[in-house]
Amino acid sequence: MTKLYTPLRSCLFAIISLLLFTGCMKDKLTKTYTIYTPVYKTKQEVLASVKNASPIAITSPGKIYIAGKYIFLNELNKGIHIIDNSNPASPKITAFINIPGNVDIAVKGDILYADMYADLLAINIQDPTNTRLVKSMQKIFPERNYGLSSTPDTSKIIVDWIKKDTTVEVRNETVVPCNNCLFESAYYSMISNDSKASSGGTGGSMARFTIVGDYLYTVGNADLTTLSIANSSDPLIKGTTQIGMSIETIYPFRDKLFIGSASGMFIYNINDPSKPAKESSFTHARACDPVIADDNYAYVTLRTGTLCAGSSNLLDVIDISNIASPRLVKTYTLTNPHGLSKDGNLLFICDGSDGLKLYDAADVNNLKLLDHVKGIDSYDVIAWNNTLIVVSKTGLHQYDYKDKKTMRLLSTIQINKKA
Amino acid sequence: MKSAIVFLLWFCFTSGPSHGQSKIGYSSQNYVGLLEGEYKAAFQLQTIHGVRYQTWYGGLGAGLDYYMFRSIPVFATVNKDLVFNGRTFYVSGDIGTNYPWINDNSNTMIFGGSASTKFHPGFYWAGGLGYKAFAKNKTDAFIINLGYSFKRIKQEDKVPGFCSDPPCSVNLERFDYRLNRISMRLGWQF
Repeated sequence: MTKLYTPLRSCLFAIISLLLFTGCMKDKLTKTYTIYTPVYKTKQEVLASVKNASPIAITSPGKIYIAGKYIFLNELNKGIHIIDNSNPASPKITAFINIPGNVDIAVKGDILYADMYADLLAINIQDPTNTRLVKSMQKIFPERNYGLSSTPDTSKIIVDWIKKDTTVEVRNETVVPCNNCLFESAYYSMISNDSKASSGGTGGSMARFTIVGDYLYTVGNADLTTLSIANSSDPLIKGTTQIGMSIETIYPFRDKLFIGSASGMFIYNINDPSKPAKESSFTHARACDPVIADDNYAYVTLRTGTLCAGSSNLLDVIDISNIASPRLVKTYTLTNPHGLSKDGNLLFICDGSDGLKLYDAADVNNLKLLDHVKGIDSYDVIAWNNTLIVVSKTGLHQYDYKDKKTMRLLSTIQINKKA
Repeated sequence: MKSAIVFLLWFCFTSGPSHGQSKIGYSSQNYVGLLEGEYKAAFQLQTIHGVRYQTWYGGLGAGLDYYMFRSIPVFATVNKDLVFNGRTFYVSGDIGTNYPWINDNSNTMIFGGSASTKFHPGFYWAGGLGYKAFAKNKTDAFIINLGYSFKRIKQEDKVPGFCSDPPCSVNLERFDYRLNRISMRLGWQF
């Protein structure tokens, strides 16, 4: 009995000690997230600062627009980089225009049109190293207030955000939370891309601005706004047309505007350029859908992802030879297609994380992949004069496609990730 | 939990005298057990393979740990036998890494985009006091071990912001779980 007593006592002591200790056993869970604090300036201060500043590093590139020897590259919600592209193999960032809230660009002649949250600015770029604001129009894009709905004082504008990582201890939380989604969502909801212009320059397929002749067309979330820029320094609103919901892009071809929305493509004629009139539409599965067009076909990429919903990552080729009745010709499966561009029979598609793809589109029923640049997460492209200008998450790239078969890298301006 | 305590008491009562081993040789310890902490009791399973030398045992182990998140601890272990009145107790220590084994939920849709969750490995360690009831061959033993176990797992959630045009922001949140548990293990050593 004595022999049994010793291990029993030891075991009992150990068990009781541990059970008593259980009450002290607390799990510790910490959560680290980012808080963004807005930095405000008065509108007067901001407008006074809309002019050339020294070049800055590219940190968050948005839409691209090319005009003459210059590339205008949007720095999301910050302004516009002016890049001298006289030599595509060696582009040089020459200046930066401070425009808080800017995401879209278009150029006609010497005037650059840019959004600043809800306002439209006209900036003289005759000398791109010495630009100056010539006109500011208020509330052209009313869905985009001055930064956030939490900014009751519209005389102030959010010009920057102070980012700070914060770690807090939380209790009993094992689900996927999203405490700062609303902050960030508002911050980034002003993001979009370029346009194609018939006068002065060319934009990408993800544009919300486009210029045709003496008119600037812009799309908001639900409407199409027409501005006369006959006097390019003095744009005038001609009208606003309700289109539908979740409008995303606008692309001009001849006397038509192709408007991409989350649920389909709308075709407007601009026989009277001051009053775009709906000609037809084409409905597709819900997805984000940049669109481009040529004489007979429209090319629509459908992608999943943020706000795009749906589950399709496709290229739809649509026969528009009968503009009143667009007809789906063929669908191709892609990875996560974004912007696209066409030059003759060559079709360039930014396929998200799957890189950049070049197709021979001579036969739309049988697109042939000619070249595939992997390793870049590309989202917008302009094919221009045998030079391909591509924006990706890693930088601004230019490729030569003179041989009509391959894309040869000419240059890259890398993003400064530390900034 | 109650049944585990009853079993432990029964084991302590009924186990017989035991003997340490002095030969060098391969030995394996295989445990099943419970982890009890603030979250709730969870099952654990471990297998350890190594060598014994006199009163020392060292080896490498792996297991299954179902506390809060299913994970696979991979660790090095050291045991030291302590003989009192012909009965063999031992202290044990484990140190290693805990690899999460969690089903991917990256297809969760938020704002129409996909939210992804990734789990990352974290530190693992455990320490305990055990008792060995040797079989007649003086090599195999029924073993019981009580102690403390810590596992750390990191979780990274990417949630898309509200955005219609690329490049879109991704909301990043990181969670750091430091889990403290009482460990109760029963096993067989051979």
